Amino acid sequence: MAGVPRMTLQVQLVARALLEAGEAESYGLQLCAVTGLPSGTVYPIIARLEQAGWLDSWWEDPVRHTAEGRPRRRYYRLSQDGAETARLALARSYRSRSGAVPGWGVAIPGGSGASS
Amino acid sequence: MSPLAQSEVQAVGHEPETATVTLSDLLAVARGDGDTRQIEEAYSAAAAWHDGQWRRSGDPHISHSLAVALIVAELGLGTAAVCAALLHDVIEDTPCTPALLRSQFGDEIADLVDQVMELDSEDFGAATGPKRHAALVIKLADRLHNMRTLSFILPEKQQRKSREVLDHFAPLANTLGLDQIGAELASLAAAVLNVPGSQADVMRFEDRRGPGLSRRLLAGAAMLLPAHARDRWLEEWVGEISYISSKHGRARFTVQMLAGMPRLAAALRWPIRAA
Repeated sequence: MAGVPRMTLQVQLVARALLEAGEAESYGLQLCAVTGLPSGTVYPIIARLEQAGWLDSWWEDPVRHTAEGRPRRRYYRLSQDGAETARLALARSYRSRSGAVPGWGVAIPGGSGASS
Repeated sequence: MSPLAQSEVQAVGHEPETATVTLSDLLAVARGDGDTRQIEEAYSAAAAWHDGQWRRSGDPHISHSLAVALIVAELGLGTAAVCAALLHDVIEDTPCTPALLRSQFGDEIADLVDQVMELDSEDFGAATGPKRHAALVIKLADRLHNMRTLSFILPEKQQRKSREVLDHFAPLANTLGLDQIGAELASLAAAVLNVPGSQADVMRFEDRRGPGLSRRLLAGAAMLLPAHARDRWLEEWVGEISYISSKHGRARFTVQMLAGMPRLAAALRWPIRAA
């Protein structure tokens, strides 16, 4: 079972982008572009997710990059456990934001948008 | 503020800003040098003398001693230099006397601490020798860690320190063949002296020195990462930079990575944080 890092909004954005990529491989620069986050935010999150067991990572097949005469890329994809844990963590984060007043644990009828 | 907006602010504010080095991080790097007991002893003494002292970042002072010692160990210097790095502030900042230090740690380490204290940035070019070389490296490591945590001091002092770095410390690093340290010091100082223009600085330097500058800056900043992890991440970023066609895009990627390096170092040093 994969561990669960703290689900900051930036972590949620990266996790969602990886979930949306599904079986397709992603790379760091692509995740920066998709999430709109700076590289200095995305790579620490990648490292955290990888260490939590959410992400599989591997270097690009040398046949591909050497044939095209370019540097190899590091690819990422959610592991099976990671995808499941990410879905649950995202759902939990969404619920905790939309269903309760922070600090009071009081459910708001109709979800977000309540005001004091 | 709506509950949603409030939780957004709280979530964003929780990212750790600095990576704190531990004694085990230091011992893992310094272990290749043989006996680590003396390093552990120097750590205990430094921790005791600096007990109750805090950095402006909110970290205990010993975290600075450890970070400086880690840089020195990663540069391959021996046990005496690592111990002197741990103890480099005890004479100036604590009641510890030179005689006490000498009686506990012997002449080699005490001489090194003396030399580090006596080094004047205006006079880095003076006499050389193996001992002086070690003292200069400790002085550089000290300044490098101070520059990495510079945001916690007053702006005027940041500017003064940064000018000193560009005038004396970065050239010293290059003279000693420590190009990566020199590049990181120069980029951190340039960012302070021309804050909105730090990205433009990288671009301007790229014009003059070619696209290898981004690589050198990233390599310098990657010194903050655990040694075993550096090559992988550096190769990945340098590869990604080669796919960015615009100079502007490469500079942006690089400057953002420099800013995020302490967070990456923290992520790599502390694998999982409590949810």
